[in-house]
Amino acid sequence: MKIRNGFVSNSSSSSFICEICGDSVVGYDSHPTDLGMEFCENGHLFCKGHLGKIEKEITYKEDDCWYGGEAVTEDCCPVCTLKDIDDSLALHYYLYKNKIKKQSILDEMRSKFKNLGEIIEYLKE
Amino acid sequence: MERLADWDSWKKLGETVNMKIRNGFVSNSSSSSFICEICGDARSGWDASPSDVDMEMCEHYHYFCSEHINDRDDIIRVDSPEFGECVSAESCPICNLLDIRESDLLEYCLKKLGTTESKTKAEIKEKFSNMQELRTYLKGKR
Repeated sequence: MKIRNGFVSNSSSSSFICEICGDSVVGYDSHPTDLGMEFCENGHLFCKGHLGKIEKEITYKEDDCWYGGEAVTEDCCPVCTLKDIDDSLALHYYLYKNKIKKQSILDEMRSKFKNLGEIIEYLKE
Repeated sequence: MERLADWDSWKKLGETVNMKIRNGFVSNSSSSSFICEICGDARSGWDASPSDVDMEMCEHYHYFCSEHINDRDDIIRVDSPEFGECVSAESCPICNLLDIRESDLLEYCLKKLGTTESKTKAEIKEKFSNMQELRTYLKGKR
């Protein structure tokens, strides 16, 4: 969850980024729910629409994070329940499972390719 | 460094994966969010261009915070027909692999192993019932 506040004086702007689809919304003095976002008790932030993947009634609990208000319980959160797994997590799983150090893969990529275009061509092959 | 070819692929990549922008929830005004593809920081502004919020965009539509460019005096800029002046591929930390995004790293690893993203994610879902179990596994506590 990446949030940056306050680029306008006398006002507070916040960006909220969905951890599932990467969509972002911006508002002044806004709570995530004002902008169609939800957050869970473990702090995952996501668009409300992603709750559609949870095949049961969504439950909420009072949360004491800085957003305040009702947080989706972890058993209904699409991130906590692994309904949606982001690339970063999948990458860490892959590296751990195969006992590979991230730095060694980065070094390998930099030695094999001169730029991102070459990587894209390689991935297309 | 060679000029990067296959503009359409770059553009598609920018539109579908990297460039996350949402415009306009306030009438008579246009808000834009720019998300750094390197550190994930988000910056937003009303009627803002990336440079207004200390972000840069390269000619292949990669967005990143200005501070990710080490020596700003050496930046090469080019004119984009759509967006005006932007950072050249030669000066972009993503294009020239100074910073490799996790999504590219994952794709590379999966190809190397001969598997796919969907198979990997399905395997995770099969092995773990929730995020806590997965995190415990990744910490090596099992």
